[in-house]
Amino acid sequence: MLGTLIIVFREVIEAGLVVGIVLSVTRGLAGRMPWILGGIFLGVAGALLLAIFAGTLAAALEGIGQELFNAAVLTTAVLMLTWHNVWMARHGREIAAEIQTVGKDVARGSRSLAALAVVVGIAVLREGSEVVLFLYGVALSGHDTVAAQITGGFLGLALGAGLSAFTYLGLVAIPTRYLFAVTGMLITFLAAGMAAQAVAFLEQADVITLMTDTVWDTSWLLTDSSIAGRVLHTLIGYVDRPTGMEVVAYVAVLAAMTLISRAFAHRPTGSKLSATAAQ
Amino acid sequence: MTRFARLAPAGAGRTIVPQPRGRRFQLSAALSWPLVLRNSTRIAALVLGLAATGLMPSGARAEDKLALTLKDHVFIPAELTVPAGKAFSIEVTNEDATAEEFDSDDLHVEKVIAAKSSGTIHIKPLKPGSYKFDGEYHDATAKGVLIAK
Repeated sequence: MLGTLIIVFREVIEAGLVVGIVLSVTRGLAGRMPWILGGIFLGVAGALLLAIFAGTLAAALEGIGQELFNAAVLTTAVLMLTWHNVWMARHGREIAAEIQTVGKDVARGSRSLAALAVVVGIAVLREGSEVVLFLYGVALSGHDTVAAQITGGFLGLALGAGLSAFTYLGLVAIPTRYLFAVTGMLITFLAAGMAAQAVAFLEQADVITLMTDTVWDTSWLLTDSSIAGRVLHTLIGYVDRPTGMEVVAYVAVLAAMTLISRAFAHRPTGSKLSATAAQ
Repeated sequence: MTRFARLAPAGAGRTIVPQPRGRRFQLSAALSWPLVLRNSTRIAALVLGLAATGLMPSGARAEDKLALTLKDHVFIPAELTVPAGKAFSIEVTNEDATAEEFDSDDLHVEKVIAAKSSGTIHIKPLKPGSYKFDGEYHDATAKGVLIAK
């Protein structure tokens, strides 16, 4: 039971952290819950489909269907996160000031919510399909410990949900003035890590063949497969033995998102205007 | 906005007229930029991808292919030997009724092999040494090592 619990928990760490971060990022946006829950629901539905068609997908495109699919959904998530950060750079201050309530702003907010719902859906989809395959395998094994193992699996899922709640509560404890700066950074690192992982899948598929040498090895310190390794992998994209191209993708996305967000940063027009006009 | 203020003649900051213009410009930018942004990111990714793949089209190299079978959640053979410094691939055949995830931190690989099917894993040239791999869903029994000499 404990073994199953640990395997399932390890698989759902990424989705758990992503949901927690998205929950705190969208704090103050009206009507966010239907989007986030919708993203989770579609992610679970997609995970079931992905598990059922795992064989078909793996055999597709001359045997690299699974890798290309993973790289594609990760790239989509990176684009959505970038878009969200740009949107946040422009409107974060208004939301923090709680002046965003009705009208056009909510309509624009819902587009950002849609982007984040996609990110949540993708995180749940990727990890979820592996959980489904694993638990299905456990259920098929026919051992007398099946019930205990399935229980362990669900406890692992519950721990993942707990991680979401823990992440959310931890982040919203940050004072509102700093919250969006912190979550903006978290999202940037999340996206950079996902970009590096997309590159890893393309390397595995033999699509990227350039700069595939390992740059450093910190597996003696922290392995990717450990719980802490998984958490850091999701949060900052930690990889114990990254290749050159993964590092390039990571740094490129980190730099691009920082620069783009800065370029689109909200300029405090309204407050200054009223201050000068009042004189 | 600070740039506007600096460029404007002294006292212009007190009039409200230049401000709405600046603001309107920002709003239209907000509507159109996400599309440009997404496209430019996509273009950048495409260029990067093409640059990366241009030199060596996949499948053009002759690779040695090793066979690895998974049966009753055990890898056969549990030890594979390959020449160091040469790319190769492993064809993993899963004879079990359940899926397995071929997982190796050492080889930087994770791939789901569905029940009763097989999958090919490309491995880049390795330095001499031993590289562990396992089946993540049954890591108590599904264990193996690849030795590059």
